[in-house]
Amino acid sequence: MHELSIARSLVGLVRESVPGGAVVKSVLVRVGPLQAIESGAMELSWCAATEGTVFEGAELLLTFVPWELGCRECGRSWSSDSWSDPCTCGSCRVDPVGGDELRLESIEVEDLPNRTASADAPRAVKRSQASKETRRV
Amino acid sequence: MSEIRIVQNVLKHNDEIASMNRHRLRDDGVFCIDLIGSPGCGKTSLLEATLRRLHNRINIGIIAGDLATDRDAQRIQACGARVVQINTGKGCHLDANQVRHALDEIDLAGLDLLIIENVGNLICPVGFDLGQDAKVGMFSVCEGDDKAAKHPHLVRAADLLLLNKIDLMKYVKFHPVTFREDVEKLNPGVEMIELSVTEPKIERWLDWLLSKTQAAQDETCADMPVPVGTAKELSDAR
Ligand SMILES: Nc1nc2c(ncn2[C@@H]2O[C@H](COP(=O)(O)OP(=O)(O)OP(=O)(O)O)[C@@H](O)[C@H]2O)c(=O)[nH]1
Ligand SMILES: [Mg+2]
Ligand SMILES: [Zn+2]
Repeated sequence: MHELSIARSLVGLVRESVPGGAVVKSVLVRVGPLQAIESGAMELSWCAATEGTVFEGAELLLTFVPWELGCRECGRSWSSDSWSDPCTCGSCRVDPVGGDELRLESIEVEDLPNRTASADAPRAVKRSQASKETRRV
Repeated sequence: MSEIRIVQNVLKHNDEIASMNRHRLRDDGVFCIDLIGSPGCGKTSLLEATLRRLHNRINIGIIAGDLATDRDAQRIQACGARVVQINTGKGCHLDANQVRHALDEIDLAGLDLLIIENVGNLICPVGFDLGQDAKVGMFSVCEGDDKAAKHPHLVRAADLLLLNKIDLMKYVKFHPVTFREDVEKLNPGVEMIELSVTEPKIERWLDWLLSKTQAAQDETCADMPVPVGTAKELSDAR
């Protein structure tokens, strides 16, 4: 269950990346096959890690990227769900490339409503609030 | 609705602490290994055997990660090494921050080699950089010859692979060629050493350790006035 540590780390990163008071709708993460992340476990971990925080209810969107393979004989490259595919040229001398990415790509936030004065407060102030919160964690 | 684009490594904080650990270890010329393998593949046995052979030649420290109990730490201590135990509780792997705290309890200046025995698990520890110089992946023949193929993450991340319990090869179905072929595809050119820790047959591993430890010291010594004896004692020990 390395998913739980990853989820906690992700919450910290999201906290740093959005202005204070922002309502996060979803978080997009790109996952390479080498990370051995199980989507069910990741979802549960995300729920546990966000519970009781301002990010509770935000959706975690995972993009699982396939293996990138390159043939040593003919130079062809392609992607596949398996690292051990032979090449169409018949060669078995195929190298998997990369595959270990685990990247936060983007965060979708609700536009801040103009209801109160505090919602219009300058960004710098909100940022400092956000960073105080980060330190508390 | 608006989108904030970021593109950042999710484990950024872990990686930052790991790189601090790495700097601390480099500064003191300590070669550091993260030893990763499945439960029972023989990690602690290998450390015991290694300590018995090397403890009066180089200074070795051990960090033992375990879900619970200090049994591994006790076994290692009995061999005369400095050992710091990290109990991870429910955690299935060590992270850089745990190692950072463990480093505080070790006199790094007096060490040549630090081996971190990670929690017995082939999957979870792989993605967490601890600040090691080398990741060593350990398998044993009883686990089956398909384990490299089923755990590509460890095989690809490893700087050295160990295949233990080869004394049991005659009792279990294990085709070394299948195992080797998968390894070679996943991590072309990676060094692989076959071991039997209990026989004990660990010479190649000891040679690898000593040469890497020596190299780490040479690197540090290149930046500093040579501490008389250290490098020489090490080469005598070989
Ligand atoms: N036959 C044989 N048995 C071995 C060998 N190496 C270790 N063992 C046995 O394997 C069992 C597990 O060894 P440990 O050293 O405790 O394994 P470990 O990897 O440290 O286990 P965890 O820390 O619990 O993950 C013990 O009974 C060892 O005696 C070997 O080379 N050959
Ligand atoms: Mg052990
Ligand atoms: Zn081809």
